[in-house]
Amino acid sequence: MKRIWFIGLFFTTLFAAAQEIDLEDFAEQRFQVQDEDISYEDLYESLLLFYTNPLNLNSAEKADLASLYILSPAQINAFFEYRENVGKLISLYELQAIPEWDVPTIRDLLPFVSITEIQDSRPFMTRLLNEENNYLLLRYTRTLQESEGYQREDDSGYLGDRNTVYGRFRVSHSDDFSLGITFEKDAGEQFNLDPKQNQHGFDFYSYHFAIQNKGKLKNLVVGDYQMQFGQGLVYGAGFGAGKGAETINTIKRNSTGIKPYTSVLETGFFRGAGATIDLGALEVTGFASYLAQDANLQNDTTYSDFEEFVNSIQQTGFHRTSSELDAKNSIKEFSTGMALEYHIKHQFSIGATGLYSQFSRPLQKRPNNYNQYEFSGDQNFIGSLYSNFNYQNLVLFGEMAQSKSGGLGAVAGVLLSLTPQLDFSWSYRNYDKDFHSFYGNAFGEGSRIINETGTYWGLSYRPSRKYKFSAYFDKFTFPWLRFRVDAPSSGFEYLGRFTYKPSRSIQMYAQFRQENKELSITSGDGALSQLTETSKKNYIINLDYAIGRTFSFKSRVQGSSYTEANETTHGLAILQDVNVSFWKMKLSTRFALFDTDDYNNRQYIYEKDVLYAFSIPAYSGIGTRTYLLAQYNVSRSLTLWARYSLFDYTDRDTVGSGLNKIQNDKRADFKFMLRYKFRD
Amino acid sequence: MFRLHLAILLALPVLVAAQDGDYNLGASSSAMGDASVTSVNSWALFNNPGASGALTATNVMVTYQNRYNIEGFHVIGGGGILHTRFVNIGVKYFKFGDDFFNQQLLGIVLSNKLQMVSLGGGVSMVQTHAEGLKDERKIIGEFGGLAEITEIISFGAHIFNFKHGMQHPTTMKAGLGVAPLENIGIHLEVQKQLETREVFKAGIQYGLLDFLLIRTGVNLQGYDNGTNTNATFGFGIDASGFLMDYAFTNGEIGAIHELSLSLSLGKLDE
Repeated sequence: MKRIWFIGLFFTTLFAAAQEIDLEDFAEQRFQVQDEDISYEDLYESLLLFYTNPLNLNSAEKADLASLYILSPAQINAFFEYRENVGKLISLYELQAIPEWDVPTIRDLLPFVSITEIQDSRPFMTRLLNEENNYLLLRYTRTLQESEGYQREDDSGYLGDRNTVYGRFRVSHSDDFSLGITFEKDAGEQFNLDPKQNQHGFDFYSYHFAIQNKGKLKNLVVGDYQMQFGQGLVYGAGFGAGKGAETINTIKRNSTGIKPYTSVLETGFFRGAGATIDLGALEVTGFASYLAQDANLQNDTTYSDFEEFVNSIQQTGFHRTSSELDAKNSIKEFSTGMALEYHIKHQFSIGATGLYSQFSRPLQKRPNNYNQYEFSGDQNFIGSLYSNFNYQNLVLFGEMAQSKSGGLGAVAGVLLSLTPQLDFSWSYRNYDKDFHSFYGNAFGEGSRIINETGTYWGLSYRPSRKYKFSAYFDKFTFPWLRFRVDAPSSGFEYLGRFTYKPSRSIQMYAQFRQENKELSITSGDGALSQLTETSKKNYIINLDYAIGRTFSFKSRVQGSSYTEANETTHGLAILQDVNVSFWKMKLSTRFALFDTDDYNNRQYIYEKDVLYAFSIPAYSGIGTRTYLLAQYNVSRSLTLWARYSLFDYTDRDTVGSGLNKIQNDKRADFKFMLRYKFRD
Repeated sequence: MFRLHLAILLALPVLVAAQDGDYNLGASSSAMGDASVTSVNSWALFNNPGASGALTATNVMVTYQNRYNIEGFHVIGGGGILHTRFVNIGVKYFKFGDDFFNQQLLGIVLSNKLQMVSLGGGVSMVQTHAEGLKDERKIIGEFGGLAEITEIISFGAHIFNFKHGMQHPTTMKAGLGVAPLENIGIHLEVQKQLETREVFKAGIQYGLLDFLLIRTGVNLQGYDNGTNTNATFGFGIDASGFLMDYAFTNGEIGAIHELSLSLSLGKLDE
């Protein structure tokens, strides 16, 4: 009875806006921008994965809940205590009754979770065909100005047309099954059927079929998938958010296991089959994958003993020119491996992973001082041991890995809820200069986990619902040389953010971040190269404001300065957004001014985009940025989007460089998308 | 004729430095380092049309700015706001310079208040006149808003001129107003014009007596080799609906004096 009473209490306000999440806002609250090292698309795709695969709270494990980066250790513990004591949840409204949980947190969590307790006993095909959670997306994008790649008559230009075409079909049911196919053709790529050139209509396809919770079979994915175990030293998919405005939960990775892959990023996933068997306390995962990737074949014997090899596997996934097309699928990667995880209640888990990779052609970098410890050869193996321990409001985690080279990688850390208002985190990492992990994505400063040691402290303090203060300090060293850094180097970074939320419809925050790093500067005659400290500071003041459900506004001032060798440059952007929703329409507009002295001061700013697309362009140079996004719900099953965006520069006559150069002081993009739900 | 051209040529760099395309007016905000985007008064017509939507009475006003004691740099301006039940309608006029070289702005502004937010937009025509040259005219659009975040804090933003040009740069302002007590107003603001560095402004107003307000402020603008600072001071006399404000700016180029008069007509709503 008490539970029901609780349920009614907050019923109306809490769930009013639970239906649709603004992923732009969600990401902005948690992850800092202004960082070139983070792959935002990746981050967004994994966010999306959660959004489209809501977590079943009745079967969720600690790692699953933690992987949303919303709950503090104390809140996660409170949830499991509640579930153990009270039994399975019967309604989402019950979340209110969990100690330590507050309304804003629940509101953040709702889009990502569900409660399904009814066992659907209909035959599988019937369930598949009748599933409501399905959609077909078709998206079209085009830059209105023609760039140089299309104008070149010779071989070096783009072969295809200027349209980007993207589509995705997905039908899934949480804890039951998922079926999806994604296809894409980038601008400049051909839509062509020529198997000799590796062209099969669209440039890229991704597909998967997955079933979950069928007896001992916890998970089986056929097709494309990603995996995450331990702290991500060996298998690291999911949102590897790293350092950001959420200073506590993002430093720990969580073993989310095998997840279907639906992105159009053309590297960094597995293609084949993988399965997790649930043997009670022990879970066993095994997989095999065969993936063709892009690389340029080399046969330069001056620096390599290999007859035919590649310098690196290309990450871009572009096949627009004949040379890009030649590189397509020219290296095949076979990988296989397993992961074991053993649980003792919810308190303690221990795991082991192993990954073996075999390439059809050896990899070898063009030798340089800084890359001489990089991977070379045609096979690698890497294994790790990891563990998680929870005790009351304390979480301890760690993983240690070794690659074939002998190089070690290690991460360890602590999350601690000191009081319900105050959270603390600490972590240490050490990645050897010869630690080689192809699918690793663990906490760190660099974009890859190699050649780095570091220590991180994070703090989050919420004295009341209205105020929140979060900060981190991170100190790092790079024991070996890096690109443009001709000696071992070091640096530090810190961030502070103060958030003020006087009411539900108003939120302000101010953020300051500084990062100091070392860089090599060559003397005038080029003879001497010396390390110098560079310092980048940036600040953001942001206000989000809504009037009812019709109007919402965002105002922001963000600026930066960059100091290198006693010379300081600046950048600034000011923006105003006005969003209106009425009837079946939603309109989002922006007007922004930006003025940056150089590329070091470019300003990354989130933009609203069509559903499931993610836009965080760099505002660089001098000019204005405007966009208009319209969403129209034609019917329950059909929704349309259109977006027009414009960069108008005053300091230049051309935009972009190389094949992307546009002979104009403007760059405008047009996007159109439709989503159709077959059954609703 | 030659003297005239020489004068124009000499004047131009000063004009560019001295806030070309900047039509902020009113001695009350001039005395607070020019921080004006969150001030609700008749001068909001110039400083943030959004804030003029929060006005609850009909106003007329006029101002005079003496810049550096040079006749050719003086500014006059004024206008009126008609307060109606549905919308506030404002008309404004601004003139910089003398008969040989001048820049004039004539604009109309519509504004309104929706719950805790007031919004306003307008269209202005700017005419640049140089004796012996053809007059140049341009139509400029603007938009602004003021939001009450709490009873103490408000936020304002103003975009002037959506279409950037060398003569008429796009300008954006954003700022916070803090009123910890009824007789204290603190204003913080950043103003950015394309192709010049941002200006940070801060000002405070204190109601010493019922009818007497004193004000001071600073603004700073970085440039390649340092920072340009202006200190400002002023006072206002409020005689039930009739306002007189004076501002003094001690800038790096010289002193600016401004005197503004404004009259609230009709019954106040509350």
